[in-house]
Amino acid sequence: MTTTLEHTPTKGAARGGGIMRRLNFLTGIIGGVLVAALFYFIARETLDQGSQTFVDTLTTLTGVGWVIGFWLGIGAFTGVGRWFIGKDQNHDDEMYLAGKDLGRARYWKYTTDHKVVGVQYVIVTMVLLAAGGILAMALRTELITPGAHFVNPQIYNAFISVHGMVMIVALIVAVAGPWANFVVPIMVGARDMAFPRLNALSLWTLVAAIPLLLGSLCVGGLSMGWVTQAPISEQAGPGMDLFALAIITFAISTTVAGVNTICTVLTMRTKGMTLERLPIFVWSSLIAAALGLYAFPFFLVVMALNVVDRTTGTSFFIASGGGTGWLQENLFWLMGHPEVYVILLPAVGALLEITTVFSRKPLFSYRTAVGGMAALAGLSVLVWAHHMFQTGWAPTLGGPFMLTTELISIPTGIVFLVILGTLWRGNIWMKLPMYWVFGFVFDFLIGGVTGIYLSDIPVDNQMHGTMFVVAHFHYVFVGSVLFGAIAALCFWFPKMTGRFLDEKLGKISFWLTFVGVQVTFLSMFVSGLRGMPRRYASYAIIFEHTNFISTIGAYIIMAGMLVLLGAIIQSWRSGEPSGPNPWSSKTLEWLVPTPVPLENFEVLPVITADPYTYGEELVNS
Amino acid sequence: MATSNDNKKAIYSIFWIWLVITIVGVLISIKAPAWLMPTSASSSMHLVIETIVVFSVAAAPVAALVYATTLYALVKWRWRGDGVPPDGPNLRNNSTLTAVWIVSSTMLTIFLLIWGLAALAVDEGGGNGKNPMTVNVTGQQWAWSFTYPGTHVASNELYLPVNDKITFNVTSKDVVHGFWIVQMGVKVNANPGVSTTVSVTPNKIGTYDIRCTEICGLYHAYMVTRVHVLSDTAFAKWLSSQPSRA
Amino acid sequence: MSVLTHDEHTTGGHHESPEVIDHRQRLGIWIFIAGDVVTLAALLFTYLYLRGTNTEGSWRSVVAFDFTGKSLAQAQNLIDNGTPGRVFEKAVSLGLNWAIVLVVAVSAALFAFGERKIREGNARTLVPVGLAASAVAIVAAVLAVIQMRSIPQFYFVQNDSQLFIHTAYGSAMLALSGALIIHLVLLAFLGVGIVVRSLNGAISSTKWTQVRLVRFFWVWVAISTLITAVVTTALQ
Repeated sequence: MTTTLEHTPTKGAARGGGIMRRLNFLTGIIGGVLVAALFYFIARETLDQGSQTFVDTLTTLTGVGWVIGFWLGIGAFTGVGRWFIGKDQNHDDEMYLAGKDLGRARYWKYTTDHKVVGVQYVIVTMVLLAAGGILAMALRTELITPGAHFVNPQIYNAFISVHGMVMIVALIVAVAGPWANFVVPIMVGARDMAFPRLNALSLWTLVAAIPLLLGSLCVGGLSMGWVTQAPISEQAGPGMDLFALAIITFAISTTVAGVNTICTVLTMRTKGMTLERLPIFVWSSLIAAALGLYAFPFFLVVMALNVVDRTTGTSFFIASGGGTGWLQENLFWLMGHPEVYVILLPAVGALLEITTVFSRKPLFSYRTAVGGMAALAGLSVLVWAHHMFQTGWAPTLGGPFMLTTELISIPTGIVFLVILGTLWRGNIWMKLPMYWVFGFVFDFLIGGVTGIYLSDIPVDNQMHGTMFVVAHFHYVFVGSVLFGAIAALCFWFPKMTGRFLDEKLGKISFWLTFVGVQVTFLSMFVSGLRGMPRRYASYAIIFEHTNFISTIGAYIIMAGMLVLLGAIIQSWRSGEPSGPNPWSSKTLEWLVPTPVPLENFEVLPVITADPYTYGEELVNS
Repeated sequence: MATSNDNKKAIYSIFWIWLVITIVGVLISIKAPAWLMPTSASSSMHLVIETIVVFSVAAAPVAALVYATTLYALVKWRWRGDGVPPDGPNLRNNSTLTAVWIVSSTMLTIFLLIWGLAALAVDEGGGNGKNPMTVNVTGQQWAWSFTYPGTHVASNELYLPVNDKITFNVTSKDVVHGFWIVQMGVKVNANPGVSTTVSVTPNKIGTYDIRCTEICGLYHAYMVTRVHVLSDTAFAKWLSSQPSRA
Repeated sequence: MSVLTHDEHTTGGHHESPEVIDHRQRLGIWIFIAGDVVTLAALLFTYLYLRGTNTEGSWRSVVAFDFTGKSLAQAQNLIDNGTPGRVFEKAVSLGLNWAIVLVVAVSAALFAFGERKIREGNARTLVPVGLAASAVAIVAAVLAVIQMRSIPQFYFVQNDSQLFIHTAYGSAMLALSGALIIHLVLLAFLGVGIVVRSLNGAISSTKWTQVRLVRFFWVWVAISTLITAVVTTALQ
C-alpha cells in the first residue's frame, strides 16, 4: 500500500482501521458485560458453592471477565492479534487509529493520538474527582455532629475506603494523565508518544478499573480504609475482591503509561533538545514515571496476594497459617510512600512551568530543581516504614526510618527555593493559573511542615491514626496536588480547546476552594491535636466544634469545585478564543497552532536553547 | 544595571515582614500546643508537647521566609499593566544562595533529627517510674480488656498506680487494633498472634481516654474505654477488691 | 526557545528509520523488564519475610489436620473425634525446582539460537527452532503446575473457621510458581507469534529486530527462575 498524505481522502471518508472501525466505548462495555457474565455463569456452575471462598472466587472471576471483555470490546487486542498473524498496521490503519478525520467520534474510541488521550484523561479525572468528592461530602455531612445520622458505621467505613482510593487514583492521573500525554510529546518536539497504541491502552485500562472500584460499594463495600490492612481485609465481603482487582487493573494502566512516558522522553526528543534544555515539566514527568515503575509492582503484588489469600486458602497475611499482617503493611507502604511522590512531582513540575511563564523569568537554579526532584524520588523509596512506627514491626528500625524521612525535607525545601527564586524580581502576571501557584505555596508549606512533625516518632506516637494525619495529607493532596492539577488545567486549557478558561469564574472558584481548604483542614488539625482518631464514624462530644467547622469548610470547597466545573463546561463551549500562544510562553507546545495538527509539527524543530530565555535580550543589550 | 540595589531593597523589606511573621509564629508555637492538646498525664506526653513546641518554633522562621517573600512578590512585583508583561531579569541561579539554602536546611534537619532521636531514647525507656509492673492488653472487635499478670484480675477499664513504670504487652484476638492512651502519648498496635510492647510512667492522677486507632471494622469508633490513674494505696485497694476471673 | 525550521530527518512523509524505531523498542522492553524485576523482588521479599518472621512457628508447619492419603471417611472421622496437631510440610522437590530452571534455560537457548540464525541470514531455521522453544516453555509451565499441585493443603479448624489452608512456605511457593506460569505462557505466545510472523514475511533476514526483543525477555525469565531457585533452595 503506497498512499501518501497528499492523497488522503476527504473529510469523513477515512480509510484503514479494519475491525477498529466498529469498536468503541460502547462495544467495550458490551464486551465487558458479556465476558463478565460468561465467567460468572461458568464459575457458578463449576465452583464448590458450599466452600467458604465461593463468593470471593466468583466475584474475582467475574471482575477479571469484565476487564478482559472490555479490552476485547474496545479493540485493545487488535494490535496484538495483528502482530501475531504477521499483518502489521499500514499507514492508513495508523492514521485511522490516530483519529484522522473522525471528528468527535475519536474521543469514544481506542484512539492513539496523544492529544485525544489527553482530553480523555481530563474527562476521566473529572469523573473520578466527582465520585470521590460526592463520597467526601457524604462523610463530612455525616460528621457534622457526633452520633450517627444518615449512614450506619458499615456504610461510613465503606465510604471512607472508597473515597480514599478513588481520590488517590484521581490524583495519580490528575496531572500525569492529561498533561504528560497531551503536552510532553510536543514539548520534546515529537509527533506522538513512543508507543502510540500504549497511549490508548493505558487510558482505557484505567476506564475499565473504575466500575470495579465503584462497584465494590455495591457488593457490600469494604470497611478497612484504602490501606486494606490484613487481617481485616481478609474478613471483608466481596467488595474487597473488586477493590483489589481494580487496583491490579490500575497498576497495569500506570505501568504501561510509565514505560511510554520514559521512552518518549529518552528517545523521541527532537534535534537539539538535550537533557539540559528539557522543560522542567518533562523532567518531573520522567522522574515520576520512573518512580511509579518501582512502586506499582508492589501494589499489584500486595493486592494479588490478598485476593489469593481470600480465594485459595493461602496464608500470606493470616497469622494462624504462618503469615503476618506486617507483610501486607510492608508491601503496601513500599508502594505507598513512593506513590505520593509519583502524585506530587508532576504537579510540582506543572507549577514550576507556570511560575516561569507568569513571572517572565527563567526557572531558578534549573539543575538544582532537577536534582532536587530526583533526590526526592530516590529518598522516597527509603522511608516507607514511617507509616508503621507503631505497628510493633521493628522497633529498632525506628531511628533509621526517622532519619531518612527527615532527610526528605531537604529536597522538598528545594522546591520552595526554586519557586521563590523564579518569582524574585519577576513581573508577576496574576492570571488564573498563578492564583493556584500562590495557593500551592501557602498550602504546601503547611503540609510539608506537619509532615516533619509526623516523622518524629514520639510525636507520631501521639498523632498516628488521628485526624492530624488526615489534615496533613489533605493539605498536600488537596491544597498542593489538586491546586497544581487545576493550575495545569487553567494553563493548558487554551492549548487544548483554543479558548480561555473563564477568569472571573475561575477566580471565584479559587477563593472558595482556598478558603474552604484552610477552614476544613486547619480545624481538622485541631481535632487531631485534641485526640480524635481517624476513620471514626462518630466521635466524642469534645470534638464537635472542630468537626462542625470542618464540615462547613467542606461545603465551601464543594461550592468552589462546582463553580470550577461550571467554568470548564461553559468555557469549553463558548469561552473567549485564545489564539495559539496567549501566555507568550516559550515551550514548544505553544509554538504550534491551536488546534494542534494531528502530527504536531509540519517540520520537526531544531532546538538551540532552553525555554527559559526570559530577559536574555536585556542581558545582551 | 542596578541589580544588586534592587535585591537589597527587596531583602530589606522582606526582612521586616519576615520578622513580624516569625515573632507571631514563635508566640503561637509556644502557647498553642499545650492549649490545644489534651492534658499531659505522663512524661512521654510532656515530651510530645515539648517536641511540637520546638519543631513549631524551628518551623516559624522557615514558614515566615516563604510567606514573606511570596507576600512581597504579590504586592511589589505584580504586573499591573495590560497584556503580556515584559520579561524580568535573566536570573538563572545564584550558587551562594542555593548553597546556603541547602546547608541551612540540612543543619535544621539534623537538629530536628538529633532532638527526635534523643526524645526517642528517653521515650522508649518508658519514663523513670519505680515499681515496674506489667499489664496485658487484649484488643478484640470491639473492646479492650486488661489483665494483670501475677493476679487473677481482669477488667474492661484500665487501672494504674501513679508514678510506676507500666509495661503493656498488647495483642489482639482477631484483627489489628491500635492501643492509644490519649493523654499519655503512648500508642502501639495490637496484632493477632504476636505481642507488642510499650512502656510509660503515668505521673498524674485522674481519668483518661483509651481509643482504638486502627480501623478494625464496624464499631471501630466505639472501641474506647478509660484509664484510671490512682495513688498507690487506692490502686492496691482496687486490685484486692476485684473478683477473680473464672 | 530558539527554533530553526529546517528539518533533516524527514522529507514529505513522517517515517522514521528502522534503527530509530528499534532503539526505542529496545529501551521499551528493558524498562518493562525493569518493572518485572521489581515484581519478582516483591515476591522474593514476601518469601524471605515470611520465613524470617516465622509467625507462630508456622513457616513450614501449622496446627491443623493433614488429610493427605486419607479417604473421605477417615477425614470425617478425624474431624469428629480428633484434635488438630502440628503438621510439618516438606520442602518442594529440589529436583523439580531445578528441572524447571533447566527446561526454561533450554527454551531460552533454543530461541536465542533461532535468533542467531536469522541474524546470519538463515530465516528458515527460525520456524522449527521457535516452535521448539515455545513447546519447551510449555513443558516448563507444566512442570511448574506439577510443582504447584505438590504443595499440600491442611484442614484448619478454629472457632468458626474450617477450611483448607497452605502454610506460609506453601503460599510463597505457590505465588512464585503461579507468576512463572503466567510468564511462560506469555513467552510461548510470543514465540509462536514470531514463528507465524516469519512465515508471513513480517520477519526476515533483514527484519529481525523483534526477535531480539523477545529474546531479551526470554533470557530474563530464565534468569528469574535461576534466582528463584537459588533463594528457595538456599533458604528453605
